Amino acid sequence: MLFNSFDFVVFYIVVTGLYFLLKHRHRWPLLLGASCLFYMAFIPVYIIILLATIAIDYIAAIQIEDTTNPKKKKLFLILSILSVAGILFVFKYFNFFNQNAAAIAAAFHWNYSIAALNIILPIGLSFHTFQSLSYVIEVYRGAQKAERHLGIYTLYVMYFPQLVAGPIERPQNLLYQFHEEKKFNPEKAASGLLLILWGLFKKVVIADNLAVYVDTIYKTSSHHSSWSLLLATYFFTFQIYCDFSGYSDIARGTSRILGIELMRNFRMPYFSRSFSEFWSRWHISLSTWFRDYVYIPLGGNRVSLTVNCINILIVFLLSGFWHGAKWTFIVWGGLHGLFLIIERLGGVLKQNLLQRLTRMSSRFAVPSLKAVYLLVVFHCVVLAWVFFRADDLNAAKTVLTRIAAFDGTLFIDPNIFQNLCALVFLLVIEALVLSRLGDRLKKLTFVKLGFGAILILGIVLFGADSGSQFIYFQF
Amino acid sequence: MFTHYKKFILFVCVIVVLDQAIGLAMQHLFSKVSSGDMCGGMINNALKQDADIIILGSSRARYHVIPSVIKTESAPRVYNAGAGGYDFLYSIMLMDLWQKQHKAPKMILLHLDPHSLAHSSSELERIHIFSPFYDKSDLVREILQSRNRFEQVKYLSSSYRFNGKVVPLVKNYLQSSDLGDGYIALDGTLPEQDVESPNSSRQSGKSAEKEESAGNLFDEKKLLYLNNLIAYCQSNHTQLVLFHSPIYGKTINDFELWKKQLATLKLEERGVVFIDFAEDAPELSHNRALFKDYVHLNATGAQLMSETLVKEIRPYLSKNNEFEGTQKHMLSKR
Repeated sequence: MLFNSFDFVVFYIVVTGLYFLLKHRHRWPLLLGASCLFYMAFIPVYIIILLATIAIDYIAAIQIEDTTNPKKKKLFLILSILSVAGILFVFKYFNFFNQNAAAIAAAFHWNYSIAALNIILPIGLSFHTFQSLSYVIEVYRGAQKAERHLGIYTLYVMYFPQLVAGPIERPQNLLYQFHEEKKFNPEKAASGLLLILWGLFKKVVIADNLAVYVDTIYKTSSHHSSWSLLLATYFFTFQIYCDFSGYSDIARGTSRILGIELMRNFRMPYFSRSFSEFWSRWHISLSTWFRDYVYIPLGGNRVSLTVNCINILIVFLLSGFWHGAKWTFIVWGGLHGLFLIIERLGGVLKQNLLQRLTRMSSRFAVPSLKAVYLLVVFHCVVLAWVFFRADDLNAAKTVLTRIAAFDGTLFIDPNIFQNLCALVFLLVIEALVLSRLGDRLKKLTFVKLGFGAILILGIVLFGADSGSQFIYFQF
Repeated sequence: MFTHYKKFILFVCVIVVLDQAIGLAMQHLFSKVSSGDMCGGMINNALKQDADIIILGSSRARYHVIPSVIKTESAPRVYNAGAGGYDFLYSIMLMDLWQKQHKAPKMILLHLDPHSLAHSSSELERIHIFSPFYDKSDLVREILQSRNRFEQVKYLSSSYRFNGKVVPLVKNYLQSSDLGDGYIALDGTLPEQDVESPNSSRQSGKSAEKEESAGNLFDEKKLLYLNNLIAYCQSNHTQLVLFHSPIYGKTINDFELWKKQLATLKLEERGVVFIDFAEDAPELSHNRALFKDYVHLNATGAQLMSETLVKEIRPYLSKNNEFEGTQKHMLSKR
C-alpha cells in the first residue's frame, strides 16, 4: 500500500476515524492491526521476518534490563545484534558477498559453487532493523527502559507511517507516545494535513515527473549527449530529494494527525554550505543513527586526526552499504566520506578565509564566499548521486565520461518546462521556509489555507497518475 | 473547535469551487485545441473529420497508411486517426466518439498487432488522454473507470480530467500544428549495424515476438469491444478491415499462435476482412530500405504498403457502395 494511492487514503481515513472513536486502551491494537495490514499489502509472508526481529529484540531487551551481570548484558546485546543483523545479511547482503566471492574464485581459478538465493528483499527491512537495533542498544546503555508490553513494542517497530521508509525512530522519542492518551487536536490535524499535501506534492508533481526524464536518459546513457546526462543528473538530485523527503513528510503528517510526533528527517539539505551541514540536514534519522551507534563508539572527534578520518570513512562506507548491496552505493558512501575528510582537513583554512573576509568588511565578500561554498557542496553531492542512480559502476563511468565531453544537443522532453517550473516552486517555498518572512507567513491562517489549496490543485492537475513506488522502499 | 470546523468546511468549499472553475476553463481551452499528442488535441482533430474511410490503430497505422493513396472515387475522404503510443482501446474509444457526430463511414481500417487484444496495464494508463471526454460517452467512461477501482472518485474532480495536460494544452493553443490527413511520413532507413546486431535493444519487433510467443490471451473486455464494433459495422454496412502491417525480418511463422487465436473469433463469417502483410506481402518485411526502425516503415515503405493495401480493399469498397442504409449507433451497446 503506497502513500500515493487511493487505497491508502481510504485505509488512513478509516484508521484515523476509528482511532479517535476508540478509548485509549483499544488504540494500540487498532494501530497494530492497521500496521500489519499495511505491511502485508506488499508481500504478506514477510511479516514473519518482521515478527522474528521483534521477538528477538523484545526478549533481549528484557533480559538485558533484568540481568545485573555486565558480561551477561553484553552477551544478550551481542546475540540480539547478531541475530537481527543476520536476518538483514541473509536477505540483503548474502547474494552480494556470494557474487563477489564467486568473482574472486573465478579470477584465481578456484572452485566455488554456492548458489545465489532466489529471494526478494522485504520492503523496508533496513529501516525497521535499525529501529529495532537502536532500541536494544538504548536499553543496554540504560537510556531507555525495556518495554514490557509486547503489543506496544511491536507497534514501535511496526508503526505504519514509518514502517517501510523511516524516519528511523529512537525509542526515547516514540515509545512513550504510544502510552499517552491522545485527543484530536484540530490545529495539529491541520498542520499534519498540510505536511501530507506538501509531501504528496513533492512526490507526485516533482519526483515522479522528473523520473520520466531521468529514467529515459539513464536507461540508454551511452546514446545521450553530455547536456542531457547533466540535466538528468540534476533532475535526479531533486527527484531523490522530493521522493524521500516527500515520503518522510507524509509519514510525519499522517502520524501528527494521530497525535504522535515523528522526527524530522530533512531540513532543506541542498542549502548546505558544508558537507557536515549536509549530513545534519539529509536523512537525519540515519545519519544520527550512524553517529550515535558507530561514529561515537569508534572514538568520534576525540581521537587523532588520522583515526578520525578513518572513522569517517568507515561510517560513510557503511552508510552506503546500508542503502544497498551494490558497489555503486559503496562508492557513493565512500565519496561522501572523502568529501567530509577533505572538509575536516581544510576546516582551518576555510575558517581563516572567512575571518579575513569579515575583517576586510566587504559587503559582498562573505555572502559571495558562502554562495561559493553552497555551490561547491551542491555539485559534489550531485556528482555522488551519479553513482547512486547508475545501475553499476560501468554505467556510472559512462555517464561521467559522457558529461565530461561537453558535447551534443540537449534532449528536450515535452515535460521539461513543467519540471523546471516545479523546481523553481520547490526552491522558492524552501527558501521562504528558511527565511524570517516564512516564519511570519506560517502564522497566517489564510496563507496556510491558500497554500493547501495550491497544493491540492497542483496535485490534481500536474501529479503523475502512475502511482509509482518510493525509491527508498527498496532499502 | 467550532471555528476550526467552519474553516475546514470553508476550505473544502473553496477547493470545490476552484476545481470546477479550473475544469470549466480547461474544457473551454481544450475545445479550441486540435493538435497535440499529449493533451488530446489530436482526438479533437479526428472528431472533426468527415471520412468515408477511417484508419485506426497505433503509430504503425499512423506512419504506414497514406490516405491520399488509399482514397478512391467512391471513397474520396480518407482520414488516418492512428496515434503513436496508443492501440486498440484508443481506436475503440475514438470510434465511439466519432460515430456520435458523423454518418457511418464506408470502411474502417483497424490496425492490429499480436498484443493489441491482450490486456495491457500500460495501455490502460495511457488512455487517460480521453479524460476530457469522460462525460461524452458511456464507453469512454467505462474504459476510463476500469483503470483503477477509485477512478470514479477521482473524476468527481473536474480538473482531474486535465491532469498532466495543462502545459501541452496551452502550448498547442498558442502554437497549433496542422495534422493534415493524419498521416506522418518517417524519413530515414533502419541502420545496418542494428540489423547485424542480434541482441540490439532497438529490435522493438522482438517485444511483439516475445508477447506473441508467450501466447497472449485475448482480453474479454477487448473482445467485447471488438464484437460491438463488428456489430456496428454490420448494421451500418461499413466494411471492417483488420490489418497487420510488416515488422522487419518477421515471417508468417512468427505469428502462427496469434493467427490461431484470431481464427477462433470467426471474423470472416462475420464479414470482417483480415489482411496480414506478413502473409500477403512477405517481401516488404525483408527489405531494410523500407524501414525506419524494426516496427515502423519509412515513407517509401508506407507508399508501397498503402498501394498493396488499396489493391486488397478496393473490391470491398465497390461492394460496399451497393448499400445505403440509415445509421445505427451500436458501439456503446452491450
